[in-house]
Amino acid sequence: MKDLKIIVCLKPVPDPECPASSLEINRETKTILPIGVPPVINPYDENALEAALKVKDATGVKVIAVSMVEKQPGGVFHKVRTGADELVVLQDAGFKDLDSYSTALVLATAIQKISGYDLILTGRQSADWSSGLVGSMIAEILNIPSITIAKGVRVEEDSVIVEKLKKNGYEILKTSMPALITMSSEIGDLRLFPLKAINEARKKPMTVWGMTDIGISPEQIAIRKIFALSPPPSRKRDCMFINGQSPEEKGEVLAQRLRQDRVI
Amino acid sequence: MVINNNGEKIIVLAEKEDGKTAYFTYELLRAGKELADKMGTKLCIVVAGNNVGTISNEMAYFSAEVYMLDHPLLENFQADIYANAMVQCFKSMNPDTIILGHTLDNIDLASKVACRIGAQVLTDITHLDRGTDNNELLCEKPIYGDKAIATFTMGRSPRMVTLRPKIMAALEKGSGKGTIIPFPLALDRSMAKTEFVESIPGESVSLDKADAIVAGGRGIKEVEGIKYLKDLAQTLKRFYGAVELGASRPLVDNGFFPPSRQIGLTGEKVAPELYFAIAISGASQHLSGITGSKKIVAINKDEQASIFESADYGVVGDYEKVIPALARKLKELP
Repeated sequence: MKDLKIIVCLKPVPDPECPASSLEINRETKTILPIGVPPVINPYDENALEAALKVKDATGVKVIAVSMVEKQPGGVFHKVRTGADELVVLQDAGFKDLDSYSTALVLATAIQKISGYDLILTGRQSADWSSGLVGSMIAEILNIPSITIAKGVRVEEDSVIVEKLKKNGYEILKTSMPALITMSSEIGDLRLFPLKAINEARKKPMTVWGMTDIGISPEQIAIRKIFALSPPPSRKRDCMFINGQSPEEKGEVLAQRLRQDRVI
Repeated sequence: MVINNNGEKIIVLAEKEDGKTAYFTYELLRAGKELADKMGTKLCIVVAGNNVGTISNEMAYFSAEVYMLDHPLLENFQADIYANAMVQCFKSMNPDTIILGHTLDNIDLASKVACRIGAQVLTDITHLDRGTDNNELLCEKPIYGDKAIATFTMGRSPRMVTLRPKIMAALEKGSGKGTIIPFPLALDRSMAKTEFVESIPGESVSLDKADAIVAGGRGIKEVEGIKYLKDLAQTLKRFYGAVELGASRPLVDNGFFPPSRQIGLTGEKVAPELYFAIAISGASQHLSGITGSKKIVAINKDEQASIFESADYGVVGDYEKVIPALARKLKELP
């Protein structure tokens, strides 16, 4: 049996753990500038890479990572290159601020150029714009089956078996390949790699394609239309701190206070 | 000069739960009604499922037109079948804007339907308004983990949005009764691109309906810590009808709680009378799920934890010591 080809789509985002104060919101230019916040790979996309590696643990797999960026990405892909066999960077100034459909179109067009894929894995949503649309839109454009928000993926002959999260519990679905699956964090964090693999990551193949390389013209894609940007509404409440000599005493005082204020 | 192809109808897709209208539907209806009034268009409701006559009948008190999509293949949600049904219906309706609840299933549905009917689509919207000209739609959406708000312009129709729960107040039903229009669907099983194997039900959790919630966060290092939360939840049942346990994402990722108990941006949005945040640091992604809570109590041993800024009552202390004393005292209250 030939090796499976799994494509993982991933995206650099400003570290989602950053405090709100580190995002500078410019109302004039309608842009958000992260101050001193390093870019990281979108955590759900790392989950997707981990899902690909879990399939690879069980069978022969070639993992190709694909990412769309507007400018030279620096070192953010190092961990991705360690885990994947190949990296394809779609880099073009014209890829800045694309809307969900255009992003899906660029990725789908590049994936068609890569060709011969069996599975496409992405994160369920990004930590910055969190639309959760791009994955299933790629599947629509490529006209292949898709399953969203999965916590487990395994390959069985020509089929893929997927554990899809539901409101309570999950369901097991099966579909033919090629297929697209979007992954949630329940699959587990991206694994740690041995030092040797980390050191050798740079030697792995990396391809950079611009808009013309994949045959996309500017008229086919559109940017997000932002009317205004603002800080979130304040969630501040006046916190009444409960005093006491010990944690136990504070617990008791809290109970009395909640009764006094008719909360309980 | 922008040529604008305007649709006629604001369409709300009704949400179901256990064969009945889900409460979320009334929130969507308010958003739809207010938008229809602003746009000078009319509100229509689509009800889809199997044996949805009763729900459709109830929905007719909220709108002049209810499109009933009743089909055995719509019994359970299968994204491709549902997308096919929606596409058939929407194509005949000349939609201006289609409003769906922001649920796991609907995000999937919205992306498929939008591609097939050529609609623009935005998800997790918290406010809808009419734009300044050309009947543009303005959509507010929290971004960057709720650390900023973007207002998007959506131009031409059709447009689709998924609306965040617990933002709008429920719409009361009107006096008159509208028409129920049974919509004929051409569906067959082969439209489904995925095959159902089996369902693994989790415990039944109704965080969205809870009166009181005890939620734990990253500061709970051992699974044994959960018993303190359970004790407090049990004690609160003296005072509140529906009490649930919840968690912020770290405790779901590490397996202490199932995903159905996750509260926040990618979990449930809740609005209980009383919310206990136990050892929760207060990341914006978690706060986005609890802002509707009437009273928030934070217990955290780190006095710098940002949760205190969003709490009504704060206790700086170790939850393992605070909770037993709190629960004991609560039991003694007359």
